[in-house]
Amino acid sequence: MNRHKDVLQGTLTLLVLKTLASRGPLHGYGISAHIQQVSADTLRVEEGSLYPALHRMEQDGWIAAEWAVTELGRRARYYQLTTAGRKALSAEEASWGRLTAAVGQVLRFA
Amino acid sequence: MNWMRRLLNSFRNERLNHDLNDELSFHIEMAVRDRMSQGLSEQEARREAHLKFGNATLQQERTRDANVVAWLDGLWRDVRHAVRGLRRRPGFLVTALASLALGIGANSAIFSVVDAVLLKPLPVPDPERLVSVREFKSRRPTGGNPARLNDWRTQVDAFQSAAAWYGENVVYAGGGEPRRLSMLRTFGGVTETLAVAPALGRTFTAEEERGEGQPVALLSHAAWRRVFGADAGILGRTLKLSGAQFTVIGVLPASLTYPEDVDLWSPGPLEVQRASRKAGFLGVVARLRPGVPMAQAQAQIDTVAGRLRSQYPESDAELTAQAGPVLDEVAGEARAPLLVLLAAASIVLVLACVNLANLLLARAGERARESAIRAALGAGRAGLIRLYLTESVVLAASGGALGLLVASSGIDLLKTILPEELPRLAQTTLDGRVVGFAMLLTLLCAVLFGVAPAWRAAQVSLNGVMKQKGGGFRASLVVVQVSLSVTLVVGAALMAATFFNLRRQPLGFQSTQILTVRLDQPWNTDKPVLDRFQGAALERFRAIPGVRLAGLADRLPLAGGSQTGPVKVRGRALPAELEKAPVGHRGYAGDYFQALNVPLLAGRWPKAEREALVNETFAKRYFPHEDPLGKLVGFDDRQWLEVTGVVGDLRQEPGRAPMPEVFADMRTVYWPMAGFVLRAEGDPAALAGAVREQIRALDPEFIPGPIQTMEIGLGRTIASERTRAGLIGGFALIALLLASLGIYGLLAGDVVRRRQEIGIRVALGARPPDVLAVVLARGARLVAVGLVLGLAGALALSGSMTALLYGVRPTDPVIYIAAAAVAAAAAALACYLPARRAARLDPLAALRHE
Repeated sequence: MNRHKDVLQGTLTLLVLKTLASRGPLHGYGISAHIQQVSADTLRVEEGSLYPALHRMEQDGWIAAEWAVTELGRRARYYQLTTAGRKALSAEEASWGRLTAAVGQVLRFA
Repeated sequence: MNWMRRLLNSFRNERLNHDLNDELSFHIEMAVRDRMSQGLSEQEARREAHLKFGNATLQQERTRDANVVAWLDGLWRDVRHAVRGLRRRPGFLVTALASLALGIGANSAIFSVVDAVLLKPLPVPDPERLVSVREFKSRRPTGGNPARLNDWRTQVDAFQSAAAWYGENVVYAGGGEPRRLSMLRTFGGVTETLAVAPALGRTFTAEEERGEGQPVALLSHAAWRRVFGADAGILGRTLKLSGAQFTVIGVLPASLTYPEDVDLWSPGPLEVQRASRKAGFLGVVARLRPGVPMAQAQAQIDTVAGRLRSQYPESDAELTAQAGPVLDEVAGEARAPLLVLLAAASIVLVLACVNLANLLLARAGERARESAIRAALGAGRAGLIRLYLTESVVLAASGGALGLLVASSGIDLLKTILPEELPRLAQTTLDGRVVGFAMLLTLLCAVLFGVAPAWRAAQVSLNGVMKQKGGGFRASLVVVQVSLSVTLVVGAALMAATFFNLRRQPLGFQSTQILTVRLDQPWNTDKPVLDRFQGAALERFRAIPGVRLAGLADRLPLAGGSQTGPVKVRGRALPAELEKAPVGHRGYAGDYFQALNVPLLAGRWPKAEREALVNETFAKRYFPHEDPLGKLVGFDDRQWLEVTGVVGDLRQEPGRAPMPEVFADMRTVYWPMAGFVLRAEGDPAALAGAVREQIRALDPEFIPGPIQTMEIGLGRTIASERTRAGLIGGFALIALLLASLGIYGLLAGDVVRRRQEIGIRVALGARPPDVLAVVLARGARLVAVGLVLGLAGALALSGSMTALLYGVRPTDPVIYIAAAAVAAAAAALACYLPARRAARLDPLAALRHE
C-alpha cells in the first residue's frame, strides 16, 4: 500500500539492519541506544517509529524475534538478522550509497 | 500514547497484545534506568521517558499501516461496515439469509444421508480391503452357499479370508416378556474377515465356525447393553433362543455396526453348513491380502469359477462371480435416488446463489456513487473488491450458520420420511464431516454470489460509468436460473409420473377390507411343526367373528418374490428360453385367492396336496396354444403337481411386470414365513386385537410380525417413491419460485431505470398495451432461451434417472412439454407484474423523476 516510503523511514530500516549485522541479537532499546551512541547523539531513533518498523521488518522476514532474558534478568524481545535481512541490508546499503553519491554530485554541481 | 494504544488495540490476539505490551514496557524501563543513571530522580526519569514515548508523529501513524495487524484492523472495519450495511436493508437481509440457510441446510442434510449411506467407510479395520463376492447363474444374481464359500476361501489366493452369512430372527424369552432378536448365522472366518476383536470374551474356534460342538453366540455391543444391561457376567451363560441353547462366548465392540442391526452372531448350524451346492442363500464377503488389487482377485475368481463350472455342471454350469467394494453392495439401490436428491438440492442452492448475485449486482449499481466517492478518496480497486466481497462473506457465513440449524432439523426430518430400509440411515448425524461440507458450501456460495458484484462495483467506480452496464450480465444470470429450474421441474415431473403410475398399476387383487398378518417361524423349524402351526393359526383366524375369508401364502402380494427355479413339464421338452427361466415357486393355503378376490380364469380350485394353480402369465408363456389344465409341472423330478386352475396375475413387486408363478399347496413347500390375509365383513383394522389374542392363545412365546390393513401395507411399498417425488417436487417448486423472483427483480429494476424513457413514450402516444408488450418482450426472450437450455439439460441428464422411473420414459415429450408449460406460466407471472407497473406509469410523474 504505502509505496512512497520517505527517506527517513528507509534510513531507519538501513540503520536497524546494519546495527543488527554488526552487533548481533539486540532488543529494541539496545538498537536505539546503539544508533544513538555510534552517531554520537546525532541520530535519535523515535520509539514510535522503531517498534512499528521492527514489526514490519519481522513480517517481511528480514529479522527474526525471540523472547530472552537480559543480563539484568528482565524478559526482552531480541531481534536478529535473517538471511533475507542480510540480502536486504546489502541492497539497502547499495541504494543508500547511490543516493548519497547522487546527492553529493548535485551539491557539488550547484 | 495514542499511537501505542492503537497499535495495541489492533492486535486482536491476546497473546500478541500481551507480548507487545511487555516489549514496550521493557523499553520504558530501560529508558528510565538510563535517565536515573544520569542523575534524574526516578519520578522525573519516568515522566521524561513517558513523554518521549508518547511523542506521536504522522509518520509513525503511517508505519502502522504497513503492519499485518493494520490489515486485520481494516478487515474488521470492512466487516463492521458490511454488517451495518446489511442491517440497513432488512428485507434483503431476510431474503438472502432465508434462501442461503434453506439452500445450505437442505444440501447439508441430504449430504449427511449420502455420507452415511454411500460414502462413510465401513466400521472395520482397513475397510478398503473388504470386498463382496456376488455370484450369478446365467447372469442372474444368486446367493452363495457354504460349499462355494469354501472354494473361494481356499482357491482364491488374493483372499486372506472369506466369510458369509444370512440373517434370521430368534425369540428370546429369558428376560420376562419374549422378544425378537436378530441373529446373523455366519459361515467361514467371519471375525477374521471383518478383522474384529471381541470387546469381551473370545471369538469362534475353527470347530465352532464349522457349526460343530455346542452352539455358541457372540453378542453385539448394542444387544448386550439393551437386552442384558451390559452385564459382564454374561460370558459363559446359556441363552434359550427359539428353543435352542446357545452359550455366550463374547461381546463384540460397539464400533462394529456392520452388518446393521444384528443382535447375535452364531455359526450356521451343521446341517446348513452341509447345504447343497444348488442352494443360494448367503451373502459372501472376503478380505483381500494387503496390497492385492481388486483386479487380481477378480482374475483369480474368474479362474476358480471356470473350474467350478466344469467340476460341478449339475449346480454351477452357469456360474460367474464378481468382486466389488462392500460399500457398493451395502448402498445397493439406494445410490441412484440419493444422488438425484442431492443434485436437486444443489440446483436449488445454485439458484439461491444466482438470485443473491443478482440482488447484489443490482445493489452494486445503486452503490456506484458510493464506490466513486471511495475511489476518489484513494481506495484502490483491491480495497473496493475486498469491501464488497466482505459483505458477501458475512452474508454467506451467517447463512451457513443458520443452514447448520436447518440441517440438524432436516436430518431428523429425512430420517422419518426416508424409507427405513435405507442402509445405515439410523447412523446419520450432524457430524464433523457434515459441518465441513456445510462450511465448504458456504465458502463456495460466497464466491459464487460475491465475486461478480464485487468486481462490478470496483469496475464501475474506475470507469465512471454509472448506469446500465450490468444489464447484460444480469440477464444471462436470469437465463441460467430459468434453465436450471426447468431441469428440476422435468425431474420432478418424471418422479411424479412414476409415483402415479405405481399408484395406478393394477394390483390383480382387491386390497380393501383386508387385514394382513405376518407369522414367521425360524428357519429350520421342522416341517410338521410348521404345518401344524400355520394350519392351527388359519383355523383360529377363520373362527374370529367378522372374518369372512382367510388364507395364507409364503409372501403377501407386493412383498417381493419368493423362491424361484426352472420348471419342468412332464412328458415334454421345453423351448430353450424357458428351460432355465425362473418361475416363482409359491405356497398357499386356505382361501387365499378368494379372500383377495383374485379371479379363477379357468379350471377349478385344487382339492388335493398334489394339485396346483398357475397364474395367467405362466399359462400364457408355458402353454401358449393349449389348455394348461391337467398338465403336470414340477420344480424337481421327484414331485409333480397337476395344474387344476389358472388364476389372475398378482403383483409381487412394485414396478415390475408379473412373473410366471406356480402356487403349490403350502404343505409341499418349505417356507417358514407366512403371510395371512383375512377378508373382513367390516373394518379390517378392528380385527387386529382378536388376531393378536388368537396368536397368544396358540403360542404365548410367539412374536407375530406386522398386523396391518392391506391398504396401509401397500402405501408403505410405494412410500419411497412418494417421498422421492415429494422431495424433488418441493425442490422444483422452490427453484421455480427463485427463478421467478430473479425474472421479477430484473424486469422491475429495468422498469425503474427506464421510467423516463417509458414516460416519454407514453407522452408521445404509446398506449399501455404497447408499454406492456415492450417489457414483456424482454422477459419473454430471456425465458425462451432459458427454457430451451433447461429442456436440453434435462434431456441430457434424464438418462441417469432411468432406474428410478416406472411407466414413463426419461425422454417422454409429454413430461417435457408439461414442465416447460409450468415454468413458462410461473415466468409469465413474474414478467407480467413489472410490465403492468410500467404500463400504468403516469407519464408526468415519470418525467418529473430525476
